[in-house]
Amino acid sequence: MPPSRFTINRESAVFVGALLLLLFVSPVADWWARLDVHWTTPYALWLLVIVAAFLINGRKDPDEP
Amino acid sequence: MSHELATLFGAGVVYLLILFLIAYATDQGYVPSRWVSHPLVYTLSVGVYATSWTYYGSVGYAAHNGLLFLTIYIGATLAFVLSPVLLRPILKLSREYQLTSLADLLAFRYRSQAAGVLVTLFMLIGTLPYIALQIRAVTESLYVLSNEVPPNTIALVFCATLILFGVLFGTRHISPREKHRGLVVAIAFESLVKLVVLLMIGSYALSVAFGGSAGLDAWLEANPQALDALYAPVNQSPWMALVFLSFAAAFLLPRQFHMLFAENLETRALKTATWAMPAFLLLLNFSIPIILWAGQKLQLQMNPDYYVLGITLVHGPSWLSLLAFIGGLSAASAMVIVTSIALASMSLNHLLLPASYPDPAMNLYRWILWGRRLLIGLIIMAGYGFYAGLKHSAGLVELGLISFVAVAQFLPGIAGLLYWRRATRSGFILGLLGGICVWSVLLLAPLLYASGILITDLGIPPIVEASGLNKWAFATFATLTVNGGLFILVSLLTRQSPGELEAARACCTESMVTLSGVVVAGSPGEFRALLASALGQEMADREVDQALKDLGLRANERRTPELRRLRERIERNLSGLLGPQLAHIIVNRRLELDSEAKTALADSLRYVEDRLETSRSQMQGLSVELDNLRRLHRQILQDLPLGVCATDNQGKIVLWNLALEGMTGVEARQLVGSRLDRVPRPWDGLLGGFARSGENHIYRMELPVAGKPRWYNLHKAAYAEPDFNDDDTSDAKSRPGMVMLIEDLTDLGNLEAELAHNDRLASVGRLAAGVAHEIGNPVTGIASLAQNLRHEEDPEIVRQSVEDIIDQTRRISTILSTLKSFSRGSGHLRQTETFALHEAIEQAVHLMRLSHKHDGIRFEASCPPHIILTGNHQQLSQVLVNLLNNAADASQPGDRVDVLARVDADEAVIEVMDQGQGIPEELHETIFEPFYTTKPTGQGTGLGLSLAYKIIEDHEGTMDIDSQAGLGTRVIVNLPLRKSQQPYEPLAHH
Repeated sequence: MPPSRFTINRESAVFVGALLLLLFVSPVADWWARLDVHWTTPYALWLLVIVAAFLINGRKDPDEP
Repeated sequence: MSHELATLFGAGVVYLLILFLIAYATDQGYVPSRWVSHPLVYTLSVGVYATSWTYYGSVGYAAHNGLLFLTIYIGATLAFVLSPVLLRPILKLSREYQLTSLADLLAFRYRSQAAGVLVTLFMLIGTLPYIALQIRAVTESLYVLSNEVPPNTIALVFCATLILFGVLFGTRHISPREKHRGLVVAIAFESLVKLVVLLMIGSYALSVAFGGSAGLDAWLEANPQALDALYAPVNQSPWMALVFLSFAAAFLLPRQFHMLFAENLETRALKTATWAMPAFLLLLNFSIPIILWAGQKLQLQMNPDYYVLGITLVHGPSWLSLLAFIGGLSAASAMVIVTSIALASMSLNHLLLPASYPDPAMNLYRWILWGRRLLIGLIIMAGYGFYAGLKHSAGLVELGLISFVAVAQFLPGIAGLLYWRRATRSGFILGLLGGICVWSVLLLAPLLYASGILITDLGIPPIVEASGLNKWAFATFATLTVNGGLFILVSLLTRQSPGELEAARACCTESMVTLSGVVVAGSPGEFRALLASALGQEMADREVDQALKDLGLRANERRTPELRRLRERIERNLSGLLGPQLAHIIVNRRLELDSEAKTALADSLRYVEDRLETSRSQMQGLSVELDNLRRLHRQILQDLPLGVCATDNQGKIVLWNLALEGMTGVEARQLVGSRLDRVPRPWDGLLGGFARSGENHIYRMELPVAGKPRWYNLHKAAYAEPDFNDDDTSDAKSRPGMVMLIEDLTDLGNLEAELAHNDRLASVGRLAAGVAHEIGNPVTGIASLAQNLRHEEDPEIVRQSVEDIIDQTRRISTILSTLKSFSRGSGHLRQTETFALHEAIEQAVHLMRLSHKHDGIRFEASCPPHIILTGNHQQLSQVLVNLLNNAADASQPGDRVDVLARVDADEAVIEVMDQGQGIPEELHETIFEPFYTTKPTGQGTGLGLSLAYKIIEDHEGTMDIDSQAGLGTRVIVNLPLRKSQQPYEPLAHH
């Protein structure tokens, strides 16, 4: 049985949340912080999360008017 | 460079005036509504999250803790991206149950006034340092920019202005259903100001300190320790704790909850905020490292907390530093205004009203309004007291984080609210108390000790140091471990009250429960009278009217399920005014439920369908499929072109479909749940009578509707109800429900009548043609005889011809008489006589021979003279003429037409035979129908054979056709022989 749109949105949201945690609260964060990266790198990663959130929110929810 | 204190004060006053103007213009409707309700305005209003801590404190925090400042916004981003599982359920709950604050939400879920009181008190204690922080940021910014210690009156004027703003624009409406649009737009404007100013200062810092981004990169390359310091704290002990704290603060802080949920104008705006709010925070923080490094490069001799101002003071134009001050002022004022409004609402609902509920005789609305206004003032002044009482030892971020840890104590309760139905009131309260105790010891006590209020720090700092953890990580871990542990443990050991269980189910919308109990009060009028003793008559009337309006019910509503819904709606509306717990208590005590009364299927169905409509998006898997199936079945019944009315086993209407709405002009929502006798006249009699009758079908029942008669077919059948209420053991369960189908025949009848009318009109035309045809034959005969007479001199022939003419005129007269009889549809014989069949046959043959139309046809007759019949001689002659005429028409010149007569038993059999093309078998039945003809148009009327058939029927005879295509036709007429022994006398004219 295919999941409902609501389920998809919730799962997508959890996925984006997990992506944020992976990038900022995990050994991955240690890794990029130790590299000799540009000072804007954390902002670029943050932007990546925002873009992902933007993309999943482009979908229309079933309870939207 | 520095500014005059008066200039700064003047700039601040002008800015706050602009803020007043924006809020006023919005409230007055000068700002287009589509701007006000735009999702980006909502997002900017939620940007109240960024206070002077962000504006000033982030640079200072970054100076000492590197990228740690970013955790405060990464955590908030997490909360927003998780919006579908976190924020949206809370928004739905708060809108549905009119919950305006976190205290309302938790008191509603745990059905506990104590929970509301505890949450409010803790929120007040935890947030006051935060308000103090804002006041301090404003006064310190004045000091930085003017180099003068600002007098206390400036802080007081600042607070007084914010109180005025909060009173004017934050308490315009007392019901949460009406949003404070002016406040929302003003706060959004403040967010825009702080964002733009911070970006401007960042750009200025980049330009003045480094000459551009290339210069910054070069400086960082030359000073690698700056970048190392920035990245050093990533993933160290406080990193995760701060992400977690800011995650909680992003939606639990009073100002956040207020702007996110209480002032939300459009549900869809939250969806935009999911990505737009993190984007706003990103932009806001992008300048922070630049300003920090610019301050370091320019070697500013000041607290890094105020580098934002310091940068502008070094080389910048004076307007830029004024703008920088305004940006900080906007960040601080927005926070204080929204926080005070939110805390005032919480304090009123959970502290003031329960402690001293006003006399219902007074105007409760006014009391609530002034109570909120007073509380706004008190809360801001308490923040000022905290500011004045605290020594300025703690950094801006320190004060903010103390509040963050306090707010995080509500997370276990929220998690239980959304996802753990087993969580109990005792677990929540004890867990929260445990968390508060640990928070007070670990964070509040050292702050008070540092300010000289306490004489001891309780020996906490050494313990924290020994743990090896950062202070914030330790406090977060310790408080939430105690809080969460107690919450889970006590919840598992205690049981929920019925009210708590009901609220827990309401919070977890996947579970669907039917309404139980029936309201004792029987009408909205009784609701008013009962509520007046608690709310006062005016408020009771307004609340009942509002709830009736919300539900689209009439003032004389008496249906049980609708009254149950009305009660629920009143409780929700009151919840927005008095708080959920007080509203629950008032409604429970005044509008009592009879829990013993059985809930009818109609009542349960309506409630469940309402809930399904509002919670469909929460469904998953099989429940979605079942709901789709339910909708399909319901839609089929709704769209059925027959009226459908179903009643449950208590005789209450459960279904009234669209076709029936159309027939009766009564909407389903007015009737579902009522008994059939509540259906308006004349339908009550029709449906009620049919339901009671023993008949399962009634056909063509006439009913006067709007003064005109209409006709209906009615059908009914009994159906067994599903076990909706398993605990229902009453007799009602054994009684079946009933479904009735109502078929409106009126339109069909009208159509039939119209068709019949058209047919009659066509018949008239055909009849006229038929008459002409029938009369045409004898007229032709008369004309021929008359022509012959002109040249005839033989008196005998002349006499014979005259006789023939008279005969033909008599025949015409007879035809007309027959037609009259045919048109009346009551054929009967007139002028019966006894005559010899051969005379009639010869007469007909003779007539045919006279007509030149059939000159080439030979007519032969054979009839024994003893066959005597009783009937109308003229009519039978006409039959024979018609038959001979048809036979001649079907024949070719040279063909023969025979008329044979014989006796068979007690009947005379006459056969008229031709040698024509015959009649196909499929036409044998139809050719006797009136006006049916196979002849070309204009040559036949279709009346001849039908007239003949009718005349034979009148003589109690029969007429049959024996014909095959190509083999000629034989018409067989059977007539009864004369019944009496009356002697036969030949006709005089023969």
